[in-house]
Amino acid sequence: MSEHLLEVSDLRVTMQRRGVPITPVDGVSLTLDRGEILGIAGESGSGKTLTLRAILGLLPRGGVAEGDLRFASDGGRPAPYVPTDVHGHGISIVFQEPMTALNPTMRVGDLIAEGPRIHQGMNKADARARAIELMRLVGIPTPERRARMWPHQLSGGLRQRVMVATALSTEPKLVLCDEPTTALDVSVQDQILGLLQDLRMRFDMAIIFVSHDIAVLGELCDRLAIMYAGQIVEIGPTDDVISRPNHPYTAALMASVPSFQGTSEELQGIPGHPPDPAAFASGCRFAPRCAFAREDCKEASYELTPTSDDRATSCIHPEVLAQP
Amino acid sequence: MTALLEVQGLTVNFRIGSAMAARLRGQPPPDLKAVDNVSFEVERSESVGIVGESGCGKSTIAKAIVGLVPISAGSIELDGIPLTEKRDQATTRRIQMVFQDPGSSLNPSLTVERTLAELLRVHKIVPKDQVPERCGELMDLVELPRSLLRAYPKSLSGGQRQRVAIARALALDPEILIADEAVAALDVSVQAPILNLFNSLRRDLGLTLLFISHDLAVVRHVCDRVVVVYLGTAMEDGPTEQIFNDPRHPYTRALMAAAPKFGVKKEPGKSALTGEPPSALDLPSGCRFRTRCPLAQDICAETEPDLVESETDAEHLVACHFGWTEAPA
Amino acid sequence: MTFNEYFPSPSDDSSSEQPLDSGGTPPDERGLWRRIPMKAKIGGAIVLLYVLVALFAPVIATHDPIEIDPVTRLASPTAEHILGTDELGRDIFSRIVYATRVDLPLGFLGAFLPALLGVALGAMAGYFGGWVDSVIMRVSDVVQAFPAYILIIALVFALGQGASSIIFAFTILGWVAYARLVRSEVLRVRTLDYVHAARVAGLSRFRILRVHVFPNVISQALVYLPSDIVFATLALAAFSFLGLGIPPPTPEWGAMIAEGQPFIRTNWWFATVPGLVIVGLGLGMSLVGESAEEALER
Repeated sequence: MSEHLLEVSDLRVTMQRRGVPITPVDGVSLTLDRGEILGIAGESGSGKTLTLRAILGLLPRGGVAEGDLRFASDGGRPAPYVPTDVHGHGISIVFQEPMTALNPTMRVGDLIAEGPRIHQGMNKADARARAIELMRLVGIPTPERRARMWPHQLSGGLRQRVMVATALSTEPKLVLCDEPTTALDVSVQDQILGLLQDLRMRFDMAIIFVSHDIAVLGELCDRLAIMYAGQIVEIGPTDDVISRPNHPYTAALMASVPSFQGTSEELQGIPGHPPDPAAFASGCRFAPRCAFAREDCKEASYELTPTSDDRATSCIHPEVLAQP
Repeated sequence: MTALLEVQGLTVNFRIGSAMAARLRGQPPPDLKAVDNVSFEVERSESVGIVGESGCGKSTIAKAIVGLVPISAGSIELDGIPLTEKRDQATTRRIQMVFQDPGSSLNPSLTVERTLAELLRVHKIVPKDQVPERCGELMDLVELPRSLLRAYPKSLSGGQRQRVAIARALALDPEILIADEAVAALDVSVQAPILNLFNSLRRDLGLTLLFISHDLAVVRHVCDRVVVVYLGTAMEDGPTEQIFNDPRHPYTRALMAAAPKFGVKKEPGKSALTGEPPSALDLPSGCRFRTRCPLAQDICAETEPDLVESETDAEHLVACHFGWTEAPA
Repeated sequence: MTFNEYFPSPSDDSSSEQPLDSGGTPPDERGLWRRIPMKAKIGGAIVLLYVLVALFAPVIATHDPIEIDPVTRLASPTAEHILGTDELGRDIFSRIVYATRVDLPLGFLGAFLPALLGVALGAMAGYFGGWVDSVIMRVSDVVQAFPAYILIIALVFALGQGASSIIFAFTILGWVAYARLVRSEVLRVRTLDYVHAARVAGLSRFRILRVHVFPNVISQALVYLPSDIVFATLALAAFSFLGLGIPPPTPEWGAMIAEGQPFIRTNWWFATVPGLVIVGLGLGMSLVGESAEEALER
């Protein structure tokens, strides 16, 4: 069955910055299958986090999302939904900083039990039992004891596991992850990534994982979307996107990542700055920094064009990357 | 040849909690051993990486070397001269540091030029009339346009701020540059050219680099030698290639396995490192890694292993009872 | 494999003279004047008006403010006396105008001197710590433990009626808030990396305090200055109303309210207009202070 779980088309987020309207997310379209892990990579200001938050209606004050969002909440065809209605009903989110995302005045067990009690109408005892079961599921040792602790008494890794348990408590079909491992050490990050992959396998849960860390995304994700200046510039199977980029930005980004096993060859970097949402270039937004930019790039309108069955790029001259 | 910088048994304790409360209870004042008996050497023009997870004490080592925190035991010698928290201007100049956070690394009320010029004037690096020219040269050195000399930090990007921070450190013509997570907060496309800049500064100025980072891939890119630190003490010390290709300490091995590797396909969650480091206030007996170590034996709980060099390679040292032998099955 | 082959290196490309990471964030296109919020402009205009009135009081005033005229006592507004006269036949409008020369500088001083003392002591306490900090903070605890108005009244009684006594009393009491604010700001700023960098660069403690700490904490304190000027002006008026402030016949708003109070039923403008004048200054200062606070938050 190839029905999608989530369909986002032409998503636009507009905000006011000191009275000036900006569009930090400008025409994002993507689809997600059941049980699929989609990575969204991008640098600061690329709009990746806002895209994720718009799906759940969690935009900062003054942010307005437009576009068509469809979600298959009941297992059927994706249907339009109101973002704030899917809280606790099919989509949940894991934030970057568990210390600020967990209410410090509630015990860990109560935090996790809150979802089942509110959204599934469980009674207190059942919800508590469910919380302990979830804590065991996400690999928290001695869950009975830890359920009685306060968030600040837990280490960073355990707190992030609590976040994951909270997200899972409402049995979501889709978990959105906003840089959930950025604040963690590599060993703990590895454990959380392993946990997410394991949960996906067991519950056929789909994940959208937003990160700036290409190495992490390469390890976890089935498909990878690259965002630049509020648009998806390339999307496709992770390995293909990483090893055979179809967009000069992707290629430049990949050439900036220090490789783990490589020799100390010069890293590439990208000249100039990531653009400010108040001053996106017209035409291809990457053109001003692109080593391959041509005259017609300045007039190119944004369109994500398929290059094969499962890949698409917004570059109008992807052939430049094939040249030796 | 003696090393340019020699760190011998460096220990840094932080007083935590109330000393008076402890005295009332008849106990010694509570101390946190942030750095515990760390020794390593840095040769001139070498680039040494100090890697470890957060809270392992790697930043404190850097701060002790530049005199920002007092040394509790051990010594730090620069060309054979012991360094303490108090040091004269001439010694101060020789070791400079770049800090992590681009948001707070520059004084927001000074222009770039005033930031640089202040140091040039106070240390009388160049005659007064040459200060503006020298500021320009420093900008060239860190590959920033001279027009940014008039800019305030607020209008600079994160990458530009870190470049200015590097220029500020270079203003004093240091021999040793310490970079404490200097690229950790930057996007990769901005981080890459700054890593290249560190490499070219070493090449062109003969700068000695002490590079503190949690990111193994970054360290591999910049460093000749790596010291792996766990809970305040050194676990392994050796040439970068050997540490990466043939790690001898189980902690180093686990760290390598846990790190996501760009360009290498691997499954997450398969590292031997489970759980999280124990508290530095309550260290395990013997080897401090044994509580998470897949090789741990009885002896590991009894004696703390010393950093021992390999029989074949004096450059590669490991603090593990089984570093150079196969562990009993 | 490496991915560099997909991306030409800048060294291959002779045209890429542009240094990496050049340029900056786009400057705000709008001019400075347009970026000042309306609130600040109105507040600034009001304050400026008061300052101008104080400066040009002799030109604006129609009469000598202390000239007694027993014939036209308690007159209603006429072309000659636009706000009428008081009990002693003095021109109320002229008195209000001249009072600006008393109330405005005293309000400024009554706010500025405590701020100066508090900022200096707070900065020392925060930066040097140790016994300096302990002494300063304990003294501030003692000052704070007294009921403020009672202490001011006691001080003014002890030192004698007059402007200098009131300013002195304000200073003794008012520095505490500034000291605490600046101290906590200094404690925050001294852990920032640019202060660490200055220490690593071997700069002297005094220099670090002066160049790297002080300028970055002072704005936090100065934001409260306008609201304290309002407070000082009001307090001065209150003390004059109680007869503890500026001795007669010097014109002063608070004293004028007190003088006009008995005639509120017949000559309502006598006490009301000086009151409105105080309200106007308070409004202007508050608008300025509020905009300054908002500007700092951005």
